[in-house]
Amino acid sequence: MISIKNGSFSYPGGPPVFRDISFSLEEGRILSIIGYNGSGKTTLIKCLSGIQDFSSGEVSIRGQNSVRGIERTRSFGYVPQLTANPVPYTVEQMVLLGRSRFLGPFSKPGRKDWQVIRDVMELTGTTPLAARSFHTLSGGERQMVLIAQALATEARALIFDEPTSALDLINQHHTVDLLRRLSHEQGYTVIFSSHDPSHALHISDCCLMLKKGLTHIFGPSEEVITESCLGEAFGIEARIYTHINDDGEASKGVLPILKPYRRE
Amino acid sequence: MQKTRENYTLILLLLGVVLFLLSLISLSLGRYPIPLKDTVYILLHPAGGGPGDELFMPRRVLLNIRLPRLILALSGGFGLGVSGAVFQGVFRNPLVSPGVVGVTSGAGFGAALAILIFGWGMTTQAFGFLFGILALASTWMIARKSDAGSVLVFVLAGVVINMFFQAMITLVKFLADSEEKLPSIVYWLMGSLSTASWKKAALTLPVILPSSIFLLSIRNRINILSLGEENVRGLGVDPRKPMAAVLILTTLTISAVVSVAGIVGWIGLIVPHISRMLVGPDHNRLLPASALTGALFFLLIDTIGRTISPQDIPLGILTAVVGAPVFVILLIRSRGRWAL
Repeated sequence: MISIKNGSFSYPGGPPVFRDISFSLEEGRILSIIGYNGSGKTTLIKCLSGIQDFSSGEVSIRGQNSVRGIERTRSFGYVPQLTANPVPYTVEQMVLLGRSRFLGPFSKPGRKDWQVIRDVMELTGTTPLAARSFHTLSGGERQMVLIAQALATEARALIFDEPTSALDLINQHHTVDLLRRLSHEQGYTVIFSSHDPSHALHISDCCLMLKKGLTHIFGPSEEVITESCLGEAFGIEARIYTHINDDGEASKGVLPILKPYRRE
Repeated sequence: MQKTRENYTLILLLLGVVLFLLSLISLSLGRYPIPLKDTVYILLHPAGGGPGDELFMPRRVLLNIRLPRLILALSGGFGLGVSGAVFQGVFRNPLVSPGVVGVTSGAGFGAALAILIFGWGMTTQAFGFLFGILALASTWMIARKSDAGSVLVFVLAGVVINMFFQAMITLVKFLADSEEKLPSIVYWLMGSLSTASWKKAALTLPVILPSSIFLLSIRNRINILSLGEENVRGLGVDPRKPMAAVLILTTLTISAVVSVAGIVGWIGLIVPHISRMLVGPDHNRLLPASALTGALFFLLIDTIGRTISPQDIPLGILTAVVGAPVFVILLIRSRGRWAL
């Protein structure tokens, strides 16, 4: 169980980025954090993962109260937003860096570390890319490498900062599906931020929706991601559609209602 | 993977052999040439006989003048090679070098000031270190305050700090006694090992070697630090302590080299690039390769500087003549990104 009580953050001397956020998430579940651009999703992700500390508030992880700083980062595998790493390491080296928390300043990766990275590269389908330079990969491939890196930390909870925002439709689908499998099949706790409510509705058990005026709603995704809440949070009218496939299974998606134009 | 590992070992081995041979050749070259055969003989039998010994003069030249100079050139290059590669790694920027961010001129000013006040000695290094750290901290703070993470801002901040300390160096020159101290400060600043001695070696080696070797031993940490502060924390590692250790050790190394050899630019910038072409960007391999390439480069430059003309040509001139075109080529080829 991961729970946050009254988590707030503001930069020194600045206005609050978010305020009094509280939720708790059971192990093995998927939490989505959705909100408009600038709603503080990335900052919240950084505070949750321990990269930054909340300005105020309590974090408890598996019954341990107020886990702070580096201590907290070690409870998570963190997947940063997709940016090019300036040093052109190979894929294998990038994944190996996920083992950093287990290596002392003078030690080198051992047999166990190599075994773990072989496993996580298999799981993410990055094994064939091992010797490639991270720079030469496509966005979708880079995403998989960063996920492999986070898995290599052997943390049971994974935090993703906008894992789909830089990807095309099919790679968005691959990534979202991998997050789902990590939770459903491997039992990972998954937290991800997104500005696409469809992904949240599609796979997340709970949803934290950041709204204007530093308010938020938290609850089961189906209750949080509703047409009226989306209107309040994103300031755009949206419809939730349900598609039923030939086997009678339903999948839901969010479609914003755009103003129809006709060329004069 | 296996194949590249063999290549890496082979390249290191090759660098080592070339370094060894060049060292021997360098020892035998100079205004007083010593045949290679005698050089080897003297090195194997350093004690020798009295003034009647036919190798008396060569032995004195070799052991008292050339050997300390060789050792200083090798260790200086070793230190600059490691520091340069570490800098580019932790500042995540292939254009950064101790020279670019102002450490070299800061250390140069500190050392010049110490020479002006106390003459050459322990204080030269100490002052060099103090002002080297000050310069680095200033550049770092300016860059952080304006736009953390921006490569351009960091380099520009370095330019500013560099210009400031260059002006301070000019002030020291202005204040120096023009008969005696000024020429020695000016000549030392241009970069030269011509005053190398066992005393200087004894004072600087205990700083350069432990610092560089410590940096080499934590080279896996350099890989981690090169991901940038937030990502390092995201991986569950606190970047502050290793970063501080790295900055202090590199500055120690650089100020020790500056105190003995003056401002020798370019080595810390060029050598890591050349080494990256040889062994790739992984710092586990890059640092050892950069150490050897640096030693090789420094020795080559110093040997050329003291043999092609009757008077020693300052190292700063030679490294610039070689370094500037090499760097331009690298810049164009890599378009400002990491040379692959």
